[in-house]
Amino acid sequence: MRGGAVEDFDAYVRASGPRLARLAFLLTGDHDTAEDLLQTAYAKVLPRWRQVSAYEDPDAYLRRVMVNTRTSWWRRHRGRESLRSEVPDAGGGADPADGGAALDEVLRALRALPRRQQVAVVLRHYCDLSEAETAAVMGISVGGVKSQASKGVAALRAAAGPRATNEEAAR
Amino acid sequence: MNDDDVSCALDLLARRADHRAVMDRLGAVHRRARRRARVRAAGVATGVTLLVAAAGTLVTLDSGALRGSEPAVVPTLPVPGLRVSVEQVTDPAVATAGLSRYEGTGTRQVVLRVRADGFAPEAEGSSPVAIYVERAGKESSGTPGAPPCEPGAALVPVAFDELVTVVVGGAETQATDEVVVSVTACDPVGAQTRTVTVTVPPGG
Repeated sequence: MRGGAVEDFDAYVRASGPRLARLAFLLTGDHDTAEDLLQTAYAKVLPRWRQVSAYEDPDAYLRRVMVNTRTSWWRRHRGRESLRSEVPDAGGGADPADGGAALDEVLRALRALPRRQQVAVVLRHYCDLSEAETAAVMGISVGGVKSQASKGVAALRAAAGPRATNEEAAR
Repeated sequence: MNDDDVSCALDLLARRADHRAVMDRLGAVHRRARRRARVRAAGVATGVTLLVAAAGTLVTLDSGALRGSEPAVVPTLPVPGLRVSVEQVTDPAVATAGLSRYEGTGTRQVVLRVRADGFAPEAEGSSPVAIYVERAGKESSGTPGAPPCEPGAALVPVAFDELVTVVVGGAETQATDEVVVSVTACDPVGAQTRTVTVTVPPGG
């Protein structure tokens, strides 16, 4: 995957699409916006693919573009987005194999988090980035990452706790 | 729910993305990249046009004041100020590109094209202009007020050209509506407001 040709970029999109689509879904909380975010990030990277393809981990660059793009959308549409409450795949649409209802609660709580908390939680606990790596992607201090991720996780626990506990007890 | 549970829950949630079949992602990415390139080229062209026009004005002024001497372009600072225009997008192809993906059952969407050209103080970590859209007494979106700027921030060129979506609720039945768009930059540019009467597309 080196050389910077358009064919390389196309191959990279095909290969990385599924895993980055997962990240996009966590960053946005709905499928349409996630695909929008992912395609926008790829489109931003394409003109500089020659440079990006030489990086050891192009995914890391894409992650940063996705987070920055998401942040800019959030700034632009925050009044509107804060009013959304529906959860995609909720209820009957959810995959029964993934523990549907409890996960719906987690997703709802994740979407309700302040932007920085949401990003910090996703980068730390889904992408498994270190605090320093997360700080670099978010452009904030390591202390800021600790604080934001901690608050975010606490909010997810509070949202998912009672229901998750009940479901675990029922198993 | 410990940290591992959080990671596990996020992993399971993320897998929901796998269930969504995406048609021609690659084609869509290339189309978006081409569109971005065109918009960037248009922005650069606008900036160049403004600079050429400003330089032309300077030359004209100079040649009048210094008649008989060589006309010279005197380097000067850009003048703070924005030229703002707001119009409803009527071209179906462009309007479709500006539509939000999903805004709720029965809602109707109006797409506005907001343009701002000129020079404004550089903002900290954001665009030098903030856009605020309001339907009188109903709802608003965007950022009211100016973006954060440091005192005495340098002027930067602005070539803002974006589509903004206004959502009309499913319970509303009017065929037209009044939308107020504010474009605000830091002082000394300040805010400019445009009020447009838009045609709300029929539901369906």
